[in-house]
Amino acid sequence: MSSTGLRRLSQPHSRTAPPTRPLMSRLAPAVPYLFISPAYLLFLVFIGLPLVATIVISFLDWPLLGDPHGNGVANYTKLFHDGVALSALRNTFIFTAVTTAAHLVLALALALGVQATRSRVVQYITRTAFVAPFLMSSGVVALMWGGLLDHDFGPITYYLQQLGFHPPDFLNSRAWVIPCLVVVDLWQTIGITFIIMLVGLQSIPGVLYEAARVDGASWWDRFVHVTLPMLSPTALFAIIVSFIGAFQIFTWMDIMTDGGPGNSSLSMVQYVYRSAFRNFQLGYGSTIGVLTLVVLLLFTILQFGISRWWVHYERM
Amino acid sequence: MTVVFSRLGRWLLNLVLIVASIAMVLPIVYTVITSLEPSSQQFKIPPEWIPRHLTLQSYRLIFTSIPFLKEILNSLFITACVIVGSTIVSVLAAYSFARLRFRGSSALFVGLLVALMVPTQISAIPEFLIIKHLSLIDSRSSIIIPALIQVFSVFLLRQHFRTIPRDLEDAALIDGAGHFLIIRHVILPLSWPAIAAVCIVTGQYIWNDFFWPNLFLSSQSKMVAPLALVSFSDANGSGALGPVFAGVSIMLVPILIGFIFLQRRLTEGVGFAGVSR
Repeated sequence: MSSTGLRRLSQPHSRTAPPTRPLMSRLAPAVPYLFISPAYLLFLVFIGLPLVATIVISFLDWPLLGDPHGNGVANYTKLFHDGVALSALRNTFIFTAVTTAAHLVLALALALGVQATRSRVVQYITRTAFVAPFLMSSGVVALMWGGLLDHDFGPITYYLQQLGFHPPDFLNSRAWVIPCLVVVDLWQTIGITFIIMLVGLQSIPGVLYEAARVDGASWWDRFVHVTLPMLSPTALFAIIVSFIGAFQIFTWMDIMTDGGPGNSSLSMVQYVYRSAFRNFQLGYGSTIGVLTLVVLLLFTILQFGISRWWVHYERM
Repeated sequence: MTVVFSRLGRWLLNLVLIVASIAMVLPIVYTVITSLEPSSQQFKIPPEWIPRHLTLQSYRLIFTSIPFLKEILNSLFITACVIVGSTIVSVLAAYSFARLRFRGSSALFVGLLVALMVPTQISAIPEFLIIKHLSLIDSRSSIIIPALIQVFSVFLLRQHFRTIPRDLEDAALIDGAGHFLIIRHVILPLSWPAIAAVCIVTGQYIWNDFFWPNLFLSSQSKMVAPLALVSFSDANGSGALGPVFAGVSIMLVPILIGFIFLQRRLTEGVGFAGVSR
C-alpha cells in the first residue's frame, strides 16, 4: 500500500490532472452523504415517516379495511372521554414509575455489593446470573412466568402457601397484577441497569476516594460526596433508558394478562395495538399513540430539566 | 467505591450475592427441569427439583405439534441477516459522522439521536401500512429491512470511532488509501469490542423480538420461534406448558453459547454506552 502511494506521489502528472480527475475524487464531496445514505434512508422510511404519519392519521377516521376520512379533532375529543384510555395511561404510569425507581435502587445496591466483594468468582457469578435473563426473549419469559405464577400448579403459589400465606390468584387480581408484572420486568431487565451502574462506579477515579479518606471522610461521607455525584450522569442515563423502555411495555400484558382482569393491566402500547388491529380503528389507535408519545416526550424533557439540579458533570 | 468490610462482613456480602444470583436463575432452572419431566410429573405439587425420571417427551411434542425446527431456523436466519446488514449500515454511517466533515453533519446526527427517544412501537400503525404498501406483509423481509437501521449502533460506533487516533488515518490517506481501505485496515481492527457489543445488542433484540413478528407475520412457514411458542401456548392453554417449556429451553441454547463467548464484550459495550456522553 505504502509503496504504491509513494510512487504515485512521485509521479508529476498525478498532481496536475483536473480535467481527467478519477471518478473517486470527483465524488469526494458526496462521499460523506453516500456513507450515511443507507442509514438515513432507512431511518426516514421506517422511523421518521411513521412518526409523522402517526400524527396525520390521528386526525382521520380510518377503519382498517375502508377508506380514510378527515375527522378533525373528533378522535382527540373521544380520547379525553375514554375511560379505558385513562386507565391504560394510569396503569402504564404506575408500572413505569415503580419499575424505574426499583431499577435504580436495586441496580445501585447490587453494583456496590459486587464492587465491594473481593472475590472474582462471586463477581463473575453475580454478573452472569443477573444479565442472563436479559438475553431471553420477552415472549418466552412471559410464558415462563405465566406458568410460575399460575394459581393452580405454579410453584410460587405453592411455596407461599407452605410459608403460611394465602396468596391470591396473582394474574387475575386487580391489586396484584401490576406488581407481578413489575417483578417480571425487573427480573428480565435489572441486569442491564446493574452493568451500566457497575461500569459507572468503576470509572470513578480512585484518587477521589483517597483524597476523601485523607480528609477523614467516613464511608457514608464518601458515598454521598464522591460516589453519588460522580455516578449521577450514569444514573440519569439509566433512568431515561429504563423509563422509555418501561413506558412502551407491551409483551407482559399481551401474553400474561391480555390487559386483564378487566382493563386493570392494559398498557398504552397495548391499547394502540388493540384499537388498530382488533377494533380496526387506525385513526383512533394513532391518536392513542400520539398521546403516549407526548406524555413520554414531556417526561423525558422534564427529567433532563430536573437533572440540572442533581446531575454533576465534570471533565476529567 | 471501595467499602472496607470486616472479614465477617465480606463473608455475609458474598453469601447475599450468591443467594440473590441463585434466586435469579431459579425460574430458568425450574423451566428446564420441568421440560425434562414426564407429563405426569410436571407441575406436581410440591415441585420436584431433582426429577426421578427424565424424558424427552416434551421435546418430541413441541417438534411434532408445530414446525418448531423450521421456526428456529427462521429466527436464526432473520437474526443473522439483521446483524450483518445493520452492522454494515451502522459502520458506514458512524465512520462518516465520526471522521468526515460535511455540511449538516451535526444536524443530521442529532436528527438520528431524537429517534432514540421516540419509541417505535407507538408508530406501529403507519409502519404496518408502509410494510403493506411495499408488499412485504408476511415475509421475512418485513422483519429484516426495518431492523437494518439500529440508531443505537450508529451512536455507539460513532462514539468509539472518535476515540481512534487520527494519525493512523492521515498516514493512510497520504498513501492514497480510499475510505473503504481505511475502514477495513485502520478502523475495524481497532473496533472489534465495540462491534461485538453492537452485534450482541442487536442480535438479542431481533432473536427475542415478539412485537413486530406478531404484527407482520401470519403464515406458519415464516413464523419465528418466540411467536410460535406464544401462539402454541394460546391455542392449547396451560395444559401445553410442558412442550412450551421445552421450546423455551431450546431457545436458551444459542443465547447461552453467545453469552459464554461474549460476556466480557457485552458488559464492556453496554457499560460503554452508559458512561459515554
